[in-house]
Amino acid sequence: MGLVRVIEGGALTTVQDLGRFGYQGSGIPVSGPMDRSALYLANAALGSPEGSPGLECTLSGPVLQLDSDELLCITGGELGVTLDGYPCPMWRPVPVRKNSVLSFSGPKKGLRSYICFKGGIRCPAVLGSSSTLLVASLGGIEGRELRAGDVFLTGGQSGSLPREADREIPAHLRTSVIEGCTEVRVLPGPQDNIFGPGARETFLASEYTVTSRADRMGYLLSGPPVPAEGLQAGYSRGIPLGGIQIDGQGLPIVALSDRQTVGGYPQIAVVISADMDLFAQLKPGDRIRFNAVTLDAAQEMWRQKILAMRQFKEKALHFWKASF
Amino acid sequence: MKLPLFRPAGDSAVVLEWDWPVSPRLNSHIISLKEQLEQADLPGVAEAVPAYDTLLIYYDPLVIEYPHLVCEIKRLLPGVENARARRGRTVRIPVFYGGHYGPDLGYIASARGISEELAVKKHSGAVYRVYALGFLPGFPYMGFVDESIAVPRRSGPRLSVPAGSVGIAGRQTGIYSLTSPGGWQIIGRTPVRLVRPESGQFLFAAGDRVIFLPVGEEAAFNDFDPDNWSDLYGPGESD
Repeated sequence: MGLVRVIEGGALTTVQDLGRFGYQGSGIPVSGPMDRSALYLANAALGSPEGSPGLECTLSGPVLQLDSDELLCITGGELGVTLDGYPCPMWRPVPVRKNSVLSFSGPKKGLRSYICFKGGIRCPAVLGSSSTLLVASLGGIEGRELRAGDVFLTGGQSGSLPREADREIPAHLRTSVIEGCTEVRVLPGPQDNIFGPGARETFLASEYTVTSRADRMGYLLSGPPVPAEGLQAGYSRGIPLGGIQIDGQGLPIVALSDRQTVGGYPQIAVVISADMDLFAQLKPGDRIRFNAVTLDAAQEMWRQKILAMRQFKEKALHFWKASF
Repeated sequence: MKLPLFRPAGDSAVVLEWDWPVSPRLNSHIISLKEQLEQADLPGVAEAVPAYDTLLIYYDPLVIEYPHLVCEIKRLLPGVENARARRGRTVRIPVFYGGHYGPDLGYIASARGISEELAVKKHSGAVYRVYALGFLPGFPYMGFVDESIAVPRRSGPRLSVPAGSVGIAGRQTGIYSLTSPGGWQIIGRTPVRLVRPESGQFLFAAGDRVIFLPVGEEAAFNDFDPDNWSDLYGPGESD
């Protein structure tokens, strides 16, 4: 086992695995990483089991002191990660010596970075998952964000990095954060039929900006209001990942990992699964345009993305196995 | 019963909508379908979230295609029709109304032109149904309060509503299961703990009936054991 000391917690650093499924009917959000492919690929590159818990770092990452040799992989947004003050490579397994200090100099591209340790972070699963759910103080480290003074254990599988496994995660699999306006693809929402004429056109033709009210539950966007006067939204209902509700002011709220399981504002659109990782890297001030696609196209893009990630995982696993 | 409408809710979920008035019967039907779906254990079907007149079903499009999923659900519907609804329990919830615990009781009384006593009597004089859990872990969405005490949500949410707070929003009533921001009009508080999320225990399930019992003395509130659930449950009845 390895041991890691938290010198500084950073703006918001939480333990996440792939999420807590099966309890939404009781009001428990799924949680899990905002950029799911980043966590998945980091574990895959390390040959760790798929759902191994890692750290999701937001904006300013933590300062961590590693008390043992570790193999780690950092993916996701570029937050200026350094090892003992020198730039640390991302998107590949990195062997790290005992007593090294991992820190972040500040965001360069994107918002969320993921740190995975070979063998994962050791923390108890609550309702089948180690993901931190802040609102209910569940999972992770005491159900909260990392703080200075915390100590956690890792799988501590250090050893040497097999030569074949010493390779980068292919560029086409990585979430590519774009400068300027980001195109986010959506499907018409389950309640898009209740909006009046012009609502859909406004929504699809306008540019929106991420406001400061953006967290793991959801992002409130600002921009031209979607006409919603006199709308009969009906009763509260389940909200899918990426569901876009139009609030009382006509502004879109995008539901994310820690979203309420049920909500009352009408759902005009849903972000396609293949674009959720990109969305998770957007930060306040970033600009967005929504573009409608068909269900078949959305599912095909998701299929291609998942199959490519699985293929990489199998390949990486093969190299790790071959080395023993 | 008429078939629900099927609408894609993104590329990995579908929502079923029933175009009927919301009623205990419809809600039972939805809960029953959720249970049949769980029993059927269809490959690629993950979980389902029931609400007043909808059921959101999550699925993995790499395992089951949308048209196939719709077919499979339609095959279950006749069975749901014939299934006996699960026997919901009756849960008795002690509530200390008004004062420090119910800061909006006075507002409701004056807005609706009735006394606080009558507002309490109206709220505690009915049997409510838990239509859905959501918003917070274990938060019961219940209906429906008497028209005479129905009020819209507060114009701006409070930053922190204490756990146990009993609120009204329109004709719905609910109980905050955890301390959180919220916009419901708060009329009282229960000492009962609604969730033990770390062990996956929830006081309520959709389909339960709820009766609020006014507690007269603040001392009685403080003496209450928040974790003693067994005394709260009455016998179940079917719909």
